[in-house]
Amino acid sequence: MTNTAFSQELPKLQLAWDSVSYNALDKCPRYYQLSIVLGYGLSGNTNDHLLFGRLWHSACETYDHQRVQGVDHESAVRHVVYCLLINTWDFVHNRPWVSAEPTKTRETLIRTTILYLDNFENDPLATVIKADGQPAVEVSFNFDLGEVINGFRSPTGESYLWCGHFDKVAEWNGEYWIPDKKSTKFELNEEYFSQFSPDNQMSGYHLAGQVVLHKPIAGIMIDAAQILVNGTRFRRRPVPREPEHLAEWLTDLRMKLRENEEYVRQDYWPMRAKSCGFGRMRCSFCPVCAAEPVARQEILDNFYVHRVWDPLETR
Amino acid sequence: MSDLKAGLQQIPKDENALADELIANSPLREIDPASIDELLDRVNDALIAGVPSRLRENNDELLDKLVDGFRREAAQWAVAEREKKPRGTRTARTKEPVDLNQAIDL
Repeated sequence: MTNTAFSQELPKLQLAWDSVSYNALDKCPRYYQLSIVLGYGLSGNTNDHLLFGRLWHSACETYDHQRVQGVDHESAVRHVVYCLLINTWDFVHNRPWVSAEPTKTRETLIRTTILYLDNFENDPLATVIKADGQPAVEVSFNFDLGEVINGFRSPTGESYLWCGHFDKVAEWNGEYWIPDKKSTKFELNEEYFSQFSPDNQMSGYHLAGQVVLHKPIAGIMIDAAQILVNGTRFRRRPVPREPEHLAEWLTDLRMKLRENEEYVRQDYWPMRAKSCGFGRMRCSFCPVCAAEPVARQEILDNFYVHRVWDPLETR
Repeated sequence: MSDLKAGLQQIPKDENALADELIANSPLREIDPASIDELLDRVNDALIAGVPSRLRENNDELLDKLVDGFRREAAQWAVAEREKKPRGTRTARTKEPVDLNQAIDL
């Protein structure tokens, strides 16, 4: 399987980065090697949190498209619910999506979507309409990191790229904002929102918001949903980043990508044992790393599947 | 990913195509006021029957009821949450009234 995010000259050197792959490297170089460079993942398990998030995002995207076409709120909500009913149906087994996570189910997804759309029907953060008349939702971006870090290139001379997707681009009081939806079962208090500072995804959004849009963004706005079995609460909160924060984040990014070049050169990504985690937070590759080196490939072959994580894929 | 993803991949991406799929002669046509669970059961019955055909066109009523049902349940939940006593204000579980003067003397 080819991955266009990697160098043509040094096949194990990743050139196009996003927050997922960078988080993997940041967490543990060995985890990064197994999950991104070699592309292994656990087989057989749907990540219900990811699926819920993906369906919620695409439902809100569909709603935005409907509204731009002139459909009224009620009809757009009904259409979105219709799409969710279909998209949470498993046509192979002829049954609805069966989630192992009690707060992330078909019912909580539909409820959360309806309430979110009702709550923000007259949102002051208005979705930007692009020149082609379409709403600026699920906006994919990538840019050359050499534009923001002077002379920063890979050892092969190829450009390093930073990639990602904005949920949407919105405008408020004449300024651009990037709203980002998050869901959790935890209380939406100060502690919850503190997880976004520092955070690679948010810093990457801020940076991209300064580079890829017509005008620099004013900030990121988190729309958080606390999803419980019987109810959903929402809370909106900006995520601040000062220019000094972004400069520091870029310095770290440059140093970590340089470190990765050394791993590539030696074809060796070291373990960061303190990142292995415990209990439900245990790294999915712990059985591999805990085994004798000679047995690891067999474990990977038997219990993991290959998939490609390519940050250059657009949505 | 999983079996679910395999299932989802069989869904046509075109929304209009989806809209043409849900039911003509399905249980969805006979709708009484019902709970969300019952309404979802109707949807599931239709999907199990392999019906997808004009859900929206013929069953706006079902979708309306479903949307209203979720809104109503959410509103009821919000009211119940507001009426809950804040933490730390629950009354003590003592069966006998406490004589505060005696307690202070002790």
